This record gives sequence, structure tokens and C-alpha cells, in this order.
Amino acid sequence: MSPLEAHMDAVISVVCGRTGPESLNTLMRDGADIGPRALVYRNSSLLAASDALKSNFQATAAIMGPDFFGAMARAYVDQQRPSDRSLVGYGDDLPDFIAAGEAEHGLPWLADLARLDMAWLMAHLASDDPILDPSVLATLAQTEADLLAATLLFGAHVQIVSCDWQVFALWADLRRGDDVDSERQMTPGEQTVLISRGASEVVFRQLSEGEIEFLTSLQCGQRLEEAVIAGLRAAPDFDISQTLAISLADGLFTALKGTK
Amino acid sequence: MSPVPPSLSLAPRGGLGLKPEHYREVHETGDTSLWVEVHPENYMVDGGPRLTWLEAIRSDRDLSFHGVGASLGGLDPLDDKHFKRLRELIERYQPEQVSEHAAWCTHDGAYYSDLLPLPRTREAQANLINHIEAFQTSIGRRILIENPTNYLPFASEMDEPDFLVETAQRAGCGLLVDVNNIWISANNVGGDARAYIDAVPADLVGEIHIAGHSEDPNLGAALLIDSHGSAVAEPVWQLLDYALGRFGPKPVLVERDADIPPFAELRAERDRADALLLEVARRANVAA
Repeated sequence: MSPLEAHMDAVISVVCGRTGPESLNTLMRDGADIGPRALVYRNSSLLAASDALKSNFQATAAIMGPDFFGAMARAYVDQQRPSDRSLVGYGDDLPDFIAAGEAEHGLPWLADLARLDMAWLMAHLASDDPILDPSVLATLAQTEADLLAATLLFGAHVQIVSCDWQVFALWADLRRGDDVDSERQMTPGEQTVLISRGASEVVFRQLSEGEIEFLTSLQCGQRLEEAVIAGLRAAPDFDISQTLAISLADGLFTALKGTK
Repeated sequence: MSPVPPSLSLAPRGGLGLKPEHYREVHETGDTSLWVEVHPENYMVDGGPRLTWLEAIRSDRDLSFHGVGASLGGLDPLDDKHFKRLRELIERYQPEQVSEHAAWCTHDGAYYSDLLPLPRTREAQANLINHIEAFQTSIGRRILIENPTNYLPFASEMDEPDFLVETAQRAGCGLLVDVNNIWISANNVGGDARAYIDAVPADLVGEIHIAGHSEDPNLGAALLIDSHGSAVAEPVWQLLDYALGRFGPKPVLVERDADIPPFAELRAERDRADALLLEVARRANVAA
């Protein structure tokens, strides 16, 4: 092992907390005793990655508070160092880490909040795909049969998130920066949330039963006819025309495929 | 777009690190002499508002890319994926300047999100030079490398100014002189900050950084931290004045990465640096 490699191994050991700061004394000028100073590298490395998590999971960080979130973030960073040199999307498996820690924090709904945060981030950073213009729909599918036989492709800026707890209202308030009641009681129950990016801002709303089946069927690549059937099966009063119009106006689709 | 020739550089005026909180205010600032600097890693995304804002801001003012992820001092091979994304950003935004650090941040494939210290040895220098040359070849541009913040007195074979000046001369790059880092390092590990500046040839210097620092919560002023979370300290302003006297007018950037204040507050710091630069230029003209 070269001296440079040995130097780096020793520094990384301190950064990761595997050895104490005194382990770097042998690398110092005249073997100087540096006391706890070398911890600055561990602290700075953890702080940068934790700050990135705080930025990427804003609602989760807000409800947990700086101490609770900070401790959780540092534990996550130690277990899952960034693999990418850009921290912009760091933490994609933080929701799973939070779920696995339920026995310690006792908040079974917290992972759902983090999942919504990550979906918001993915929508925010997604590619700027050209959006399907509703006005050309009639040109692309000249008959109703053509339209029903087609598939609609979603842009990367569209995220559909299923939650096991009814956290959407809390998450939406936190994302908007509204005051929230920290004592608010969470109740179990499925909720599905659509998160997408409009012209510039990320928008979100809770989906109805019919919308969930309709949109997830389309997202799985099923034809429009199959998606309509799925939507009506879930909710007999499901309004397909209105949902399709809203989805087109919200710019969820990038292309129409499978027409003659 | 045609590539920017490597000879292009920033004007010797005051600049600011661009923060998302200030996108709109920077864009609407009429003073186009205010240039901005970003970490390109924060823009390595597929799309979205931050790329759109950067395009709008860049359209009427100078731009500098200051990388933190290349790990030029590291032993890992340079990351092709990282360089591909960097080249794409350079192609799109055509920054006047590209800079990086004389440090390392990856080891055995993992990223440690900090600028970690190199020993100033011949072995470390040869590795750093190889990586700077590969970096410059990869992006087709001459870069600047920044002096590190020192927290520990590592055993070394040469002084830091000698190490960096020789590295720059052999690699064909320039230097980004971070005056705050020099001040912190002198405080933490000893040395004369002004003598450090005296040892750097002016023609190698392409940019200067200033920033705020803080005291270690446990060790106090004995260990200053390069936190970028407060206003620039007065001794650093004085050292900047000295550095500009030595180097002549150079682009000066005010960095702020934590506890981001209102734009007006940062703008006032930038304007102070800009006024200093104009004064240095005036003195140089009088002397000529």
C-alpha cells in the first residue's frame, strides 16, 4: 500500500467513525497529538449529506424537527453513503430506512410522508418532456374507437404514490409551508396521491378510486379502453371525460400511441 | 453553440454564489457586472426549474462553474459519468470559468461529501497533476484549482504555496485563491497568511474567494471551520485587500452556503468586494 493510499484509508476510517480522531496522530508533523480535531472531517461529511437530505425531504424534516431528523439523517448517512457525486437526488431509499426504524421512532406513518417527499423531488427534477397537446388529440385519434385503442404515455414528471396512512393533508400543509398541528393524529387507510410538474411548479392532489385505477392502468401501458373499464369497475360513477380532460390539461401525457 | 475558447475568463468584478432562494432577485438585478458561480453538481439533473433559472440568469451575466465532486486528489479513477454530465452542462451554459479543488472526496468508489485533505507529498502531487491534466483534456478547458482549508498539521514534504504553484505550472492550470481558507489554515495549523499570498505568482491567479467562517463548538477559536454560514470576517476583508494589492484586480466571489440571508445582505458584501476591486484598479492606473 502506498503512503497516499494509507493516508486516505486512515482519513476515511475517521470520517466513517470506525476509528477515533487520535488514529491520525501518526500522520501529523512530528507526530503531533491533535486531540479531537480530526472529527471535523467526520462532522463536515455528515453535515453535508444530512443537509442534502433535509433539502430533499422538506416535509419529513419539518414534522420531525431538527434534532430528531438530524439524528435519523446521520444514522442513514453512515449506513448509506451517497453513491453519486451530486446530492440532488440523494436519499431515494430513506423512506425504507424510516420504515425499518418504526420500532425505534414509533411513527408508522412517517415513511409515507418521506415517500411523498421523494416523489415531489423526482417530479421537480424530471426531464422537460414535450407535453401532449390536447388540441391535437382529435388529429391523432380520428374516431372514438381509435382513441380507446390507444395508449397514453406519462412524462417522467408524473408520480403516483400509494400511502398506507392518511398523511396527504398533513404533507400538503407542510409542503405549502402552512402551520400544522404537531399533535395531529394519523389514521391508517389507503390514500393515493398524484404529483406532477406543471409549467414550472410541482402540483399535487389526492386521487379518487376511479382515478387511481384509470391512471395506474394507463401508467402500466394498458389501452385507454382497458383503463376506462378499470376506472368504472372501481367507481361506477367515475367520470372518464372529466378525468381525461383534467389529465390532459395538467400535462400528464407526452404521447399517444397505438392509433391507426 | 461553438465552444468557448479556453482564454475566456471572468471580468475582475464582484460575484456571488448563486442560491435558489435568490434566483428571481439575481435575474431581475439590472447590474450585469454581478456575475454568479454555481456548483455544477447541483445542476446535474434531467430537467426542471433550476435549469431554466440558470439559463435565464446566465443569459445576461457571467457564470463560473466551481466543482466539488471531481476528486482530483483522489486515487479512484476519474468518474466518466460525472464528467459526461459536466461536459453537457458546460456545453449548455458555456461558463466563463471552470474550477475545482486540490482535495479528494471519493475513495474506493464511495463519495464522502466533503473536501478531504491531501498530504503535500510528491506522490500526492503527481497524482493530482495527472487528474488535472485528464480533467482539462476531458472538458477541453483550462481550469483553476482552489487551495484547501487546513484543520490538521499533516506531515508534508513542501509548503502549501510551493505545492500548489508547482502543481499549477506543471499541469497547465491556474489557481483559485480562497483568502478565507488561507486565513483559517494559518489560524488552525500555523503559518503567515500574507507570506502565503506573497508566494503565489499573480499571473497564475484566475479568481479569489471570500466567505464567512465559524469557531468549532467544542474547541472555539483554536479551530476555525470553513462553514460559509456567516458574513465575511473583518480580518478576511483585510487579507483580501492585501491579496488584491499583490495580484491586482481579479474576479472576487462571496460564497455563502448555509444560513442564507436575504439577497440584499449578500449583495452588500458583494458590492463591498466590488468597490475594493474598483479602488485597486484605480490605484493601479494612478501608479502606471
